[in-house]
Amino acid sequence: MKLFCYTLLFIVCLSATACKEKYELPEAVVNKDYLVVEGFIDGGNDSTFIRLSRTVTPNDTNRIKTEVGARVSIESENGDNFLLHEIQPGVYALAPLLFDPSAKYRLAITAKGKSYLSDYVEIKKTPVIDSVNWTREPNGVQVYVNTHDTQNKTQYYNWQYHETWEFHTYYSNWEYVNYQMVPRTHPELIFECWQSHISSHIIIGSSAKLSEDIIYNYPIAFIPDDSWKIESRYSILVKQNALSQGAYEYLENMKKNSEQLGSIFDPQPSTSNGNIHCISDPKEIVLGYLYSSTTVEKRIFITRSEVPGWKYRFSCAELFVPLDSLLFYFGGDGLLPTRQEIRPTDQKPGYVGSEKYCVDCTVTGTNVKPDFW
Amino acid sequence: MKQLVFLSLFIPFLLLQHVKSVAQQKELLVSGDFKNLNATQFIQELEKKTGYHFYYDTTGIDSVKVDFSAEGQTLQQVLETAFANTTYTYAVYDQQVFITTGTAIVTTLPDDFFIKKVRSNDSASSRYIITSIEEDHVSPNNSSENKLYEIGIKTTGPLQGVVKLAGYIKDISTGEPVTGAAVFVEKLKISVTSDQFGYYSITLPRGRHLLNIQSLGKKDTWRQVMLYGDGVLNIDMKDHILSLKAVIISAKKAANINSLQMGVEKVDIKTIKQIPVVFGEADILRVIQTLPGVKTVGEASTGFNVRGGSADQNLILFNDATIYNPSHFFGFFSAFNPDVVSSVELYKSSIPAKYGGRLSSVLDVVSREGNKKKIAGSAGIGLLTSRINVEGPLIKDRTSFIVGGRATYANWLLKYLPDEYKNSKAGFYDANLLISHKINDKNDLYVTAYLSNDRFNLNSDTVYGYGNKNIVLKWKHVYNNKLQSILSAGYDGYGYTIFSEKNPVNAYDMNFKINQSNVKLHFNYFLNSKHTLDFGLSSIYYTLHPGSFQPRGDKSLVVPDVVSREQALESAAYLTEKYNITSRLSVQGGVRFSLYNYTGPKTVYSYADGIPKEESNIIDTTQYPKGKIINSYSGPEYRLSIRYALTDNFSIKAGYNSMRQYIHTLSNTAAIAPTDIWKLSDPNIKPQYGDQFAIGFYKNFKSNTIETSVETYYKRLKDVLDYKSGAKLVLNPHIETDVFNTNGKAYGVELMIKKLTGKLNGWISYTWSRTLLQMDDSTKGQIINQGEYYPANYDKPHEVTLVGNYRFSHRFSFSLNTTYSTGRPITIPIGRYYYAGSMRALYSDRNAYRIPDYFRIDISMNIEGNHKVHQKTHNSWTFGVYNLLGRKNPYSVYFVSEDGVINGYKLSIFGAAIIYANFNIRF
Repeated sequence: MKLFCYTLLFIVCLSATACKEKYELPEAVVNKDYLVVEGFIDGGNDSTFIRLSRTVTPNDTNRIKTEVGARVSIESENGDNFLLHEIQPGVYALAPLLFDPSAKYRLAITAKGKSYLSDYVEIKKTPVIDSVNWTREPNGVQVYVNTHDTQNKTQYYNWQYHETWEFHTYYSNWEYVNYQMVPRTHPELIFECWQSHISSHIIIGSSAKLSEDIIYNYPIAFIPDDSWKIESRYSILVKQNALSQGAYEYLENMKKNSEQLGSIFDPQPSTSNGNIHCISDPKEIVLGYLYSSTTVEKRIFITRSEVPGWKYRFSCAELFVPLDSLLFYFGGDGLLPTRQEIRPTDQKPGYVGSEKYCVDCTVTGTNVKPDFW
Repeated sequence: MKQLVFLSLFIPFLLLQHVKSVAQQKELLVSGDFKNLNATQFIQELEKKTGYHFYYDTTGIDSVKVDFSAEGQTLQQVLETAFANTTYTYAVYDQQVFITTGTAIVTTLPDDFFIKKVRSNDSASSRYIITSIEEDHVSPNNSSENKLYEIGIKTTGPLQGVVKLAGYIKDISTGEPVTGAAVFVEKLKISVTSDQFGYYSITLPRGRHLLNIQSLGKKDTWRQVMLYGDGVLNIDMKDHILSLKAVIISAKKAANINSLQMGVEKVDIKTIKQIPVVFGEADILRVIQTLPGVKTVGEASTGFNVRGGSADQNLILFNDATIYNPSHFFGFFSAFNPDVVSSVELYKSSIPAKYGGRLSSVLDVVSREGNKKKIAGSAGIGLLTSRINVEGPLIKDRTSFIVGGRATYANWLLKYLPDEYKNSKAGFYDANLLISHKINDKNDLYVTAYLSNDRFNLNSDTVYGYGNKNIVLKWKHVYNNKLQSILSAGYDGYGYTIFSEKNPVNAYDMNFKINQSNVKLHFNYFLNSKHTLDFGLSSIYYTLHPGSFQPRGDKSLVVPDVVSREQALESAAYLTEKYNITSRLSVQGGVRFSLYNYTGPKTVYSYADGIPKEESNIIDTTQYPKGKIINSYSGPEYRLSIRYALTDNFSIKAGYNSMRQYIHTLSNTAAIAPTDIWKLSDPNIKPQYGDQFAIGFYKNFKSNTIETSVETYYKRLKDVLDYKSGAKLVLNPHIETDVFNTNGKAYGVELMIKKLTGKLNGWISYTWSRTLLQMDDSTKGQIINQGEYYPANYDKPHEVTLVGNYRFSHRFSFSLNTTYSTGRPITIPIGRYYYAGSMRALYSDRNAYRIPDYFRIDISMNIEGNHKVHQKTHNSWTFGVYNLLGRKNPYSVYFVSEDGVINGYKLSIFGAAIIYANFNIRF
């Protein structure tokens, strides 16, 4: 019966229907530069950082259009006023202060002649992280967080993570300096490096629907098993903050509108105001939601031996370079030598080399060992 | 040899002989008691007594009763007495008696026969011999067409006034009623349609008429009637067995000109089955979406938008049961089993007053009735679904049933999907049970039961399930030719369940349910040829469980969260009068008065006036006890239409329609999602209101084989729901804080050309339409697009559809479906910003951009097995290609933050041509 052939074809077609094609953002005609306020008032022992930036048109080449020279301060209901200092363009900071946990605070900003005020927020105390754990899944590693608040007061949580991992390149014994092949003095400096990454998506969770304020095995990060992150050793630092309900809902909405689109049943995308308002022009949209809480964190390590069957293998193309071609291959930015070798086929002496990023790990990372390592 | 038709062959032979006149007969005297005999017995008696042979048509003659005695009378005298006051006449020739109706057979040749060999037709008509008007149509086995039916008591006086003729139209082989058959008298331009029970009722002037009867897939037939008074005429129709042509989208060939209705599209199942669809399963809703004025947001949605209305503004009825979710399998299949459906009718503008409760349209899906003569069935095998149905008599000619079922086995398919969907599961089934029972000539009983169930998970631990449950009981009673009633009672239910159990602490069960019980009493009153009345009462009691969130398993810490039940009673009374002022001008006026009561137990919040409804603005909370009316909404709805026929094949119609809707879907997604919930109007959520003006021009060409129409409409929408940014719609005890009312308008022009017959048939339609919404009241909520009108999600200004079918032979036909439309509007980022480690899109003006245009061609071939009527099974193959060009038609364009940057994607549901095959068998 021919049905079978059709069936096969049909499958092919449907598989191809995971039909997602790149689509260029059409040029916007309107240019809105709304103020974006990101950050929270750290009610604990950490500094407070508030980043001010502006929205840009989709085709703007700026990654972030920072808002410099603004006046940013934290005001309390009692009339206290703390001025933040611009430590980097657009980043305003305040050293740890002993905020009054019972008072409410707000942010006051003056930028480009307009003044902005947030609603007053209370300082929420973040419960400690019970554990950060992980499981080996068929195609990678899933990292979870567990926490709870015995007082049932937190309910809304925000997490961020900093990943750091150790990685290696080909070990290079040789160096081509001044048209000479010489033994490398500190081969270990370009052999072992660290790379890190800060979470770039919104991770929020809530226990509001549960009878106890417990977050159980909340998925934080996933490392696919073809990732170089667990080439030898990996570490993740999870930072946890309590959120206000408003901040949770604001972030949830932002997540829906920027990270969770693309299904068949997408909601109408929208951008909404948070709890920061432009006093000079009440109709102006201000992005961001101010909240205040203390920060807790927890770090774990995962080593390669704990994840048997990890698929990632470091591998780069290697090239044998005979002695007469050393200058051509190693003289410029092309290849770096790794070892001396006599070519088995014709017994010609020479050096084996590979692309720079395969030999010098500082191209893709740093050779400065993190202090927690 | 008693068949009149044979007689017609015989007569020329008779006439060519040299004949003696009746007067020359030797006198034969008859005596006897003919007490209380019917005509057949009487004739047999006479044959015995006289030795003469009688020729007559057995049909109908027994309505003549004979009750007299004769003493030495001539045969002529006896016959004269017997058939006095009937239409029967007689002629005696040689030893033969011919009994005919109407005109007596002339047994002599006209005097001038041999002088003027050719007689003109008109003079022949005064003394024609066999009663047949359209002799070229005479078929040797259809005696009823040649017969003249006399209705009422024969009078000889002048025929004045009008009478009522009614009856049932049935299929001759199965006994099923023929729905939507047109009964019309061409000369008078009077036309009626049989209802879903096959019942028709027509008012005609007394006298002689030729009734034409036409229906989809049935052989056209006609009846000659002589109307003396009110009466019954049941009509049997034959299947058009060899018909493979039949893209007939109107039941009534000249009906678009003659009927008062406008904005009505009727599609029969044969047409539906010819139109190529993805996966090859005949799909009612897909076909509906090819009709002018009907839009859809995309392929993964069986929700449809009629003339600018949103998807929840369509009342979808299956034998009068409300189907809340008409789709299966993410919308790729419709919930209706094509094997039990007989026809589908979509009302876009002239919505009859008997329907109400939704703003935009009524989709009336009518099932077949089971075969009343023998057990039969059909089955179909497709790649994803199979279906079977069995039907037959429970009591022959009186009670029949259909049981139908469909199931899918799509799980195997999902295994072949890319990894990200590998662990997905999906399945559905539906079942139908239909019973019709004829209690007696005046009473019929019908039962419809429907059950559907869907269950799926998309590579997550969350399992979704939803289903419809419906049952309707209908009792039809005919009081007399003028008055009949239908009493129906039913229960409709829809609900969904979502559960997740992977994380034991968070494992939950979520449920939504809506139930409605309804009672309807409908009357048809055919007052006279000028006036027809429809009136009735209906009542729906809703109980709606807006949502419950419950722990699943022992370890779950989920706190049960149940949003309290809502209940409401929606009642309506309606009256429609159809008034034929002249044969060219007719009007129909209807009014429906609906009354809606929202009742306790329920907690209702009150909000401060003049500011948006928000939790912080709650000023009062009122607890209402059970049964207490919390608030009421009521109002009239008007349904008016007028038709003026300029010529026999050109008419103009205009209409005005207003509607109220008390129940709303809460859906913040562009496509209808299975997890959408419904909400009843309450003190904070007003009912939706809409009205529409429409004008249409209808012209037919080539003796009604080509129909053209232009319809234009303007519609206003009031208090439709829109959603605040980040609206929380599920498990929200105060939905009003997340929604607001907006207003809208829609207008458009729909052009259509249909060719109904011939080897090549089909239709082309073009629609230009706009749907615009507006939110400019800051006291209700966010102002959208600075308070300007903005296009709705389904606003697609240009749309062209071509549906064609070419029949190469009786066994092989080819169908083509082409559709083009403007891309739907979407909201695109006007900018971006950096937040939480990533670029994010900034949205502002809603629906200011459009996704690329949509264009698709589908083809299919139907190959039928042989057409011998008397074989055990009939089978057919359907092969087709959906999206022949393999065009990646956009379903949506979206922008998502990935690894810190914004990427734009175009999502297509079908990115390649999809080939399908289906095997169908009938037994």
